[in-house]
Amino acid sequence: MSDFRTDLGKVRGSGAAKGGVHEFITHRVSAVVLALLLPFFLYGLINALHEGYEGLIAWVTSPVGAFVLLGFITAGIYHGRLGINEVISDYVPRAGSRTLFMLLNTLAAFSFWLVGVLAILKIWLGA
Amino acid sequence: MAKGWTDKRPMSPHISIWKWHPTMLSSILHRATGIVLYFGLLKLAVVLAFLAAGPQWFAKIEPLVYSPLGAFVFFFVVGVLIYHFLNGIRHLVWDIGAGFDPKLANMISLVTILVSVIAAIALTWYMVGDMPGVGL
Repeated sequence: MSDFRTDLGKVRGSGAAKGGVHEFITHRVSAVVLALLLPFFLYGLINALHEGYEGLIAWVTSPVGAFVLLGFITAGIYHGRLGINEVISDYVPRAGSRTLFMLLNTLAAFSFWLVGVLAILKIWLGA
Repeated sequence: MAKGWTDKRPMSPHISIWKWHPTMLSSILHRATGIVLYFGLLKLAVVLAFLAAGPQWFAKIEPLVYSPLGAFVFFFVVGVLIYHFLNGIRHLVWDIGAGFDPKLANMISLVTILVSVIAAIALTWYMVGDMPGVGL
């Protein structure tokens, strides 16, 4: 006797952990990326905000600024989407609405990521 | 109790009966600040879109950014960001199995909160101290 799972449980495919290991690891990998980028992001943002519109444009068009911004917004929204999904799976009790909220979260994350990245590329390539 | 909960067995006592302690506070704050930062990132994407649309579009949001409200939002989001950053590093240290001594963990929780508040005040001061029109 090495298998304690019911037939129904196998069909549903929902064990206790589901696909959690992948999310656990990528959540932490994106955290490391963000921790490395944060000092550069804050330094660049504060210096740019000091100079208004021209300062912000100069920041986004500089190679380091574009790299840091693209990396920060990509790793950040990825990390945030995983975090919000974790909150949703903790607090939404019904499987149906839980799936719906997580889907909406993924759609929102992808949309805002795309808006941010396209904006950075437009400024960077247009300069 | 959560709506739609059909299990009749008694639930474990919930957060209301626990004595508050620093690691509990920092754990709750980590999740709360994470949610705030997610919306902060979505806002960053929108601001970048305004910036990419040209100076006449950026001029529409510029008065909001460079205002006392903008300075407060900067202070709040930067404080939250630094807290989540510092506490996140602590979580990574916990993940490798170190730093679980309760006394040390409680002390680091309080220090982390204190440092992020001080850093947010300092950065906001540096940010708006010599800026005209912000009113601070």
